[in-house]
Amino acid sequence: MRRAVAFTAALIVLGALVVLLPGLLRDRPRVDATPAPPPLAAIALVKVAGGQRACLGNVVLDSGSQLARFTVGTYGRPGPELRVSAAGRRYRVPAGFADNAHLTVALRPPPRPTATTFCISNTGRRTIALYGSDELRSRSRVVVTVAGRRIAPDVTLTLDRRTPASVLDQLGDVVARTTRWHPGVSEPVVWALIVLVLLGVPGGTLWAFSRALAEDAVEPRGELGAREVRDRVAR
Amino acid sequence: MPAFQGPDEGRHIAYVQRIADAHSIPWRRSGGGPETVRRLSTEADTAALWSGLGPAQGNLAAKPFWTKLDERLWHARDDVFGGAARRDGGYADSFHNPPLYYLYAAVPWAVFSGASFFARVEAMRLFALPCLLAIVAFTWLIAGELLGPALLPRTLAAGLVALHPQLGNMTATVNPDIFLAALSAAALWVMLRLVRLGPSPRRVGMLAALVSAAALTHGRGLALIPPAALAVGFAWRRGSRALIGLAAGASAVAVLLIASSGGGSARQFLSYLWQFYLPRLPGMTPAIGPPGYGAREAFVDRFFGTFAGLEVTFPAEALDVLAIVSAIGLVALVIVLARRRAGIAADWRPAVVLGAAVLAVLVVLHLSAYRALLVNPGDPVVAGRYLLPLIALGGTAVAFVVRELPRRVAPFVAGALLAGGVVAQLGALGLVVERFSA
Repeated sequence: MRRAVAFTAALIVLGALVVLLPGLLRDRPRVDATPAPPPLAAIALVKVAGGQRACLGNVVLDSGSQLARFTVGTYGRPGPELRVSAAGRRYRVPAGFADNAHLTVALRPPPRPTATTFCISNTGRRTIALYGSDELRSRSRVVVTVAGRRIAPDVTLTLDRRTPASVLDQLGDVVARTTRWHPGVSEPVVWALIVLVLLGVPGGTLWAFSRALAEDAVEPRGELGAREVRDRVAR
Repeated sequence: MPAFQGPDEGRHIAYVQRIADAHSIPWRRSGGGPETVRRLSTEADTAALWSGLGPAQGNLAAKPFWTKLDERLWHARDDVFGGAARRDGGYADSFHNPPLYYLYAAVPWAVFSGASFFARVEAMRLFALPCLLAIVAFTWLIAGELLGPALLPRTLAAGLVALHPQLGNMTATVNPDIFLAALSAAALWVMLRLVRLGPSPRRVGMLAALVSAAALTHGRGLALIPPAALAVGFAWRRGSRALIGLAAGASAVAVLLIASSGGGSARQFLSYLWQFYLPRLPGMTPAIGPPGYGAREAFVDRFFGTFAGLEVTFPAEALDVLAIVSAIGLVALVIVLARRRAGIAADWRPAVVLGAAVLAVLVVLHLSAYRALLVNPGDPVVAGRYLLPLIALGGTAVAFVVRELPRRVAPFVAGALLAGGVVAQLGALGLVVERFSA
C-alpha cells in the first residue's frame, strides 16, 4: 500500500519535472501589450497616402513597451521613410523596406503607464497600406484616424519587450497581471492560491488515495473478482 | 481565466444580463434570425473592449490589457453608465437555449448588482463551484452503486473526475455545460437507485425533476429522457428484452427520419457518422463537415486538452498520449465487460439504462451536429465538453477496469492514473495562466 502511494507521489514529481517545469523555464518572446491585435481570418488594409498620417488613439505605453510592431504594404515598391510618434517622442523608419514588411520600431518607453496616441506618418509620395483588422471579433478600443478622419478598420499594433524571458523569470508580473479584471483578487490572494494549488492538488490526491488504500486493507469491502469467485468455487 | 474567454461566454453573459437587468427571459426556441452585430449591452461591450478581453477571445496573438491605467480608463467610461447601459444588449445565439441555467446564474448577478461588471462575472463563476462539487459527489455515489463499497474504485472514479482539466476549465467560465453535467450526474445516480431499489414517489419525483431541469437547461439535456424512461419502466418491472429491442429499433428509425428531413438524408447521416469514428471506406464520398475532424479531435483533443476559447491546447505529444491511453482504456473496458458478461446478464437493467444514457447523448450530439452541418458545413459543432454529462460514467468505467486488474497491480495503475490527472490539471492551469498573464 505504502509502495503504491510512494509510486504515485514519485510519478507526480516526475511529471512535474518532465512535463511542467520545462514550460515554466523556457524563454519566450514577451508581449507587453496588444493595443490592436491582428485579425483571426482576414486582413484589412488601411491606406495612407503620401504625406498623410495614421493615428491610433487609446494606446497605453508602459515601461515594457520597448518595441512597436506593425506591418506595411507598399504595392511592390521600396517603402518610403516613415515617422512614428508616441508619448511625446519621435522615431524614424528608414526608406527602402520591403513590401509587406513587419516593421519593428525601438521605443523609449515611459517610466510609468501613459495613455497616448500612436502615429505613423508616410513621408513619401506614394500610398502605403497598414495591415489591420475589420473583424468584429478582434475589434479593439483603439480609435484610428487617417489624415484626421476616423476610419473603421483597426491598424494592427503590438508592443513587445526586447528580451525574451521565462514564466518563472517574470512570475511577479504574472501574479500582478492575474489580479487584473478580477475584482477582490489581490496579489497576496494569488500567491496563496498558487501555494494552495501546488500543494493541495497533489497533496489532497495522495491523501485520499492513501486513505482509500488503508481503509480497504483494514476492511476489504470490494466485490469479489471473477478469479476469486472461481477459486472459492474450486475449493 | 479572465471574463469572456470561455466558449461563447459573451453570449451567455448577455443572456444572464437580459434576465437580471432587463427582467425578461429572451428564450426563443426557434427563429430570432441572425445575431445582431452587437450582442452585448453597452456596459458589457465597454468592459470587453477596454479590458482587451473582447479581442483576446480565441486570438492567441492578443493579450488582455494589464496595467492599472487600463483599469482606470475602463472605470472612467463605466462609471458614467446608468441602468439603460445594462439593458440595451442585442440578440445572441445563446437565446435559443432554455433559461434554467441562466436563471441560476442570474442570482449572483442580481445579488452583486451594485458591484462592477467584472465582479458580477466572478460571482457567476463562483456559483459554478457547487456544480463541480455535485459532479464529483455523484461520481462517488454512482461508483459506489456500481462497483460496491470498496473505497479505492470510488476514490479513483471521483478523483479522476475532479482532476479532469476540462471540467475545471468549464467551471471557470459562464456556460450552461457545467450545470447540465451536474444535473446529468445526479439523474444517472437516481436512475440507478430507481432500477435497483424499485419505484418510490421520492425517487420518481426526483428523476422527473432532474430530467425536466436538464431539458430546461439545454437541448442536449433531452438526451436524459430515454434512459430515464427505461429506468422508470424497469423500476416497475415492465421492461422485457423484447420490448427494449423494439424501443431501440423504433428509436433508430426515428433518428434516421429526423436526419432525412429538411434537406438531409439518412445515407449521408450514416456516412457522416461512420467517418466521424472510422476511416472512410472505398466508394464513400467525403463526409459533410470540416475535413480532419472526427472522434479523436472531438473526444480526445477537445475533451481533455482544449481550453479557454479553444485556442489553448495541450501540446500535440500530450494529446497523442491521451489518445493512446483512451484507446487502451476503451479496449480494456470491452474486455472487462466481456469477462463480466455473466454478472451483467444477471442484473442487466442498470447496464441497459447506462448504455442508453451514453447512446442517447451521442445520438443527440451527432443528430444536432448533422442538422447544423447542413446549414454551415464549416463548423463541426461536436465539442469535447459536450461529453461532460457522461463524465461520472467515464470515471466509473475507468475504476471498473482498474478493479479487474490483479490486486497487486491495481493500486499502482490507479496511482498512475491519478498522478496523470494531477499533472494534467496543473498543466492546464499553467497553460491558461501563461496565455492570459505571461
